[in-house]
Parts: sequence; structure tokens; C-alpha cells
Amino acid sequence: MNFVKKIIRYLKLLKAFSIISLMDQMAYPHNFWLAIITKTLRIAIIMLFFKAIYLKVNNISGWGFGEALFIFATFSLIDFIANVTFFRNFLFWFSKYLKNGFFDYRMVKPANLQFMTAFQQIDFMDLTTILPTLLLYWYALNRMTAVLSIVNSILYFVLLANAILFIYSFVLILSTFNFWTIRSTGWGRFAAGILWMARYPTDIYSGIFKTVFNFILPIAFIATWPAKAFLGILSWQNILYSLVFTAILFWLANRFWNFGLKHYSSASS
Amino acid sequence: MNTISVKNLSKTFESYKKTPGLAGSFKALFSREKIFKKAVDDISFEIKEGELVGFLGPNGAGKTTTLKMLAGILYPTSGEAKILGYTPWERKNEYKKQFAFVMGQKSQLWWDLPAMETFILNREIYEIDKKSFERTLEELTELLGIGDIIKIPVRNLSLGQRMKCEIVASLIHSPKVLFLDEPTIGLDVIAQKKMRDFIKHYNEERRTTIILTSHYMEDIGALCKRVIIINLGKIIYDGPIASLIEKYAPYKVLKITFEKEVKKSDLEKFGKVSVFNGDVFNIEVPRKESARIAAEILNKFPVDDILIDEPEIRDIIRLIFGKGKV
Repeated sequence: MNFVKKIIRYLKLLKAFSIISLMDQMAYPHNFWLAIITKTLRIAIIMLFFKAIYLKVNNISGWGFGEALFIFATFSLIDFIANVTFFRNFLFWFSKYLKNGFFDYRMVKPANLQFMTAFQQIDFMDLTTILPTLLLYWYALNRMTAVLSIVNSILYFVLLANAILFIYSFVLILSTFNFWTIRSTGWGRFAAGILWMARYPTDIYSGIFKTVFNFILPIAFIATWPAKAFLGILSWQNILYSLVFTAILFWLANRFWNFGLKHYSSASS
Repeated sequence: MNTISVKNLSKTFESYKKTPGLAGSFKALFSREKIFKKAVDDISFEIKEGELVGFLGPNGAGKTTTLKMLAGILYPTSGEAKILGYTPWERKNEYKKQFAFVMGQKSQLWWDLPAMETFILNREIYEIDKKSFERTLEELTELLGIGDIIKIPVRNLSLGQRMKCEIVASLIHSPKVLFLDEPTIGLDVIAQKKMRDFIKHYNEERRTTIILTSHYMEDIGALCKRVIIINLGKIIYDGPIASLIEKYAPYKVLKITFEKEVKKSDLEKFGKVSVFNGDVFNIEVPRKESARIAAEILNKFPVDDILIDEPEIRDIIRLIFGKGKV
């Protein structure tokens, strides 16, 4: 019962953060519309890029056009969820709030600090990118030859959730460094750079990089493996590996965050 | 019962030394010399429920660091503190719901939105029911005299108006303990006075336990019966303002108006002349002899009016910190 109460409480908080973020972003209407236009354009450009590649070849490392697009669609969905919610909060806003003292105000508020840090700005300008992403799914599914199964679809959604938790943990670790460095927007670009590599099937890498991206810095968890699970070509060992790896990473990230909080020395008066 | 009790609290910061200039900056990228600074050094004090205590000290004395530890923002290096029975740095939500921290130089308001939106967000965070939220809001806005201001985007407000909104945002959950760090900083004289009146009223009405830090002696003098003076991380005085004056100012001030002009040199033998312009003089005389000297001046000079007064707290503080020791 207590657990349910807690969930309801934090859903309410999320709603409150969403409302205030939306109002904040609408405070400058020109900016609001401009952002929506540029973000839609960005997706269109990436699609053109894909199309251009597959005009030359019809298969990259065993991935056909439809399947590769499906990976990209998966990536777009994960990217969308991360961007709307925690990604910028951790990697851009957090260091700003540490510096200007806003974070100190958050610290004295009676709610989970990590939750407030992760979700205080919900990025509504990014909401529009869900439309091209859904179109992409439709387009990709129409071009895939694989037979769909319920089990594989369920696995796909489980691995999607896992992918989000994986990125969350990864980003949480990076942003925790801010407690010591305070000024470090460089983490944002670093993280974005690594995560963007997950747009392509990790099978295009060979040798050591293949091992790294599948098992050590496993960006394969983000799009390639969920897509493979959907197609029924991911081994159960790999599924288990990605779930356990993410669980451990999440646990470690939280320990590190708490360690950082304990050693936080606050911006000066 | 004590609301706040602090025992042997210390905080040491680590930082790095850097030689000046660009070359120094490059050097610092590779090797840096660690330095330790004791911001708060073994302080102890207790504060009772409903007390309003002033924290005084020059910049860097450790006032803000102490408040940040009491608010649970900073972990101490050593020592203990209990506030309302909680250890602040355990950061329990039950504790957070019962205190507020106002930082004069920082803002919790959303810059591009009216302050009201921040209040509503805080209502959610503090889980305040609608009725008591509206009651508290009405009471606070009335006391501070800000009706419509809360509907204007914060960026369009004056500093004084913004500060009032910060106060409302911090008090919306009716805290039992309040830490005010420089709440009047940068405000003009009238706004300062209003803020002071508000704090006094709030403390008296609600019996809220308050610690106030300020650079402005007027704030402390007008609001606090008890003052804690802190310098270089140590408490150098803790007691009533009245005794502070007796202890550190061995003089009183004679404020005299003469019927006609008097030479400064004639009065200098009685004590230090701190103010003079023609017929108005302030003379600092030894505390014990003030009555005798006043009588003597009355006898010898054409006095229109004479007043024996305590020195201003501002001057005493200057005296204490000017010497660098007590």
C-alpha cells in the first residue's frame, strides 16, 4: 500500500514538473515554434542519410534496409524518451543548477533528490520528434521480412525498458562527476556522442570494437539487441547478460551518486 | 526544550592553490597544491523554541557554512547537531518538511514564470493540502504587501519584490525552523525595513525558531535579542546584544547640542570626538565616568541639550573585527 502511495506521489510530482516546464518553454513563443521546426528537420535529414546509403548497397553486415531502419526507429524511440525526461537534466541543467545554487534549494526539499534532478525539466519541444519516429516504425515494419511473434514482441519491450535504464545509469554516473568538477558541460557531448553510435547495428564494428560495444560499453543494449530480440535472433544468454549488466550498472550508479552527494561541498555563499 | 543544539561542529574544505596568471593556470592542470581551510572550527550552541538569534561575522567567517550544515546541504567534518530531534545531514524528508532555508544571494523561483507557479510546485513537493496552502499564501502575501506581484514573471520584478516572493516560496509549508541567510542583501533602506518588520512579526506570531545572518547591523539590532558572533570559524561571542555592548564598548556616547559654537579642542580632553559640526557634538567617554563628565560639561559650557547614549552595534562590530581579536 505504501509503495502504491509512493508511486502516486511521484507521478503527481512528475505532472507538476511537466506543467511548470511546459509553461516555462512557452514563455518565449518564437523560440518554442522554432525549436519544433528544427527538431523535425533533424530527423528528416538522418532519414535521407539512411536512404542515401541503401541506394548504393542493399545490406550492411547482414542488416537489410527495413531491419536497419527498425534499429534506427528503436534508437529514435529510446533517444526520444531519454531526451524528453532525464538526459538534459543530468548532463546540462544539473551542472548549471549546481553553479547557481538552485541545487542547494532542491536539497532541502522533501522529495527524492535524484528524482527531482532527473525530471525537473520535461522537454516538451522534443515531444514532436515522436511523430517522425512513429512513421519510421511503420515504414520499417512494412519492409521487414521477419515473422512477428508475441513472445518476441514482449521481449522487445522488456529490452526497451532495459535500454532506458541502461542510459539512465550511464548518464547518472557521468553527471555525478559534476559534484567535484561543477563546471563540465563536456559530459553532455561525450555521452551524446557515444549514445549516437547506437543508431547503427553494432555488427558493423569488427574485432575489439565489436566486443567493446556489445559487452563492455554495451551500446548494443540500446537498439541493436532489442531489435534482434524482436526478430528472434538474440540468444537467451545475451538477453540475460544485458538485464544483469544493467541492474548492476544501475546499482553502481546509485552508490556513486550517493557518494557524490555526501562529498558535495556546495557553491560558495 | 532546545530546538537546535550544536556540539563541536567543524567543517574543513579542501581546495587547490594556484599561482596567478595564465602560466599558473597551465601548471594547475597538471599539479596542484592541496590546501585545507577550516571554515567552521569546533562550534557549539543551543537555541530554544521561538528564539530569533543573529549570526554575525565578516565575509568568510563560516556563517553560511554553518547554516548549510544545519540545513543538511553539507556534511560536517566532525561534530553533532540535532534540530527538532533530527540530524540534518541524514536528510530525512520528515525533517525537510519542518524547516526552510532562504539564501539571499540565490533564487529558487522560476525566472521566466510568475512566482505563483513556483508556489504551486512547492505545494506538490511539500504535499500541502489546498486549503492550508491558500490560507498560508493569503496570510503571507498580505503581510508582505504583494498581491498582484505574484502573477508577474519573476524576471520583471525588482530585487525587493523578488525577495518577498522568495520568502513566500520558502514559508509556504509553515516551517518550525527558519534559516535566513542575508535576506536583506542588496535591498534599499525601505525594503530592508519592511523585510525586518515581516521577520519580527512572523517570529512573534508563529513562534518560529529563526537563525538570521546579515551584514547589516540594523537587521540584527532591530530583530535579535541574542547574537552569536563568529570569526574565522570560531564563536567569539554568544549572548544578549545588551551585554555585547557593555563587554566590547568600554565607552558611552554623549550627544550634545550647544547654544552657540564651541571649539573642538575644548572638548577633546573629555574623550574622543566622533562627530562635530559647529554646535552638535558626539563624544565617546569612559562608561563609568559618563555621568560625571556630562555634569562637568553642563556646568562649563552653554549646553542646549545633552543625551547619554549607547554606542551603535555597527561601531562595536567594527571595533571587534577591526582589531582582529577580542
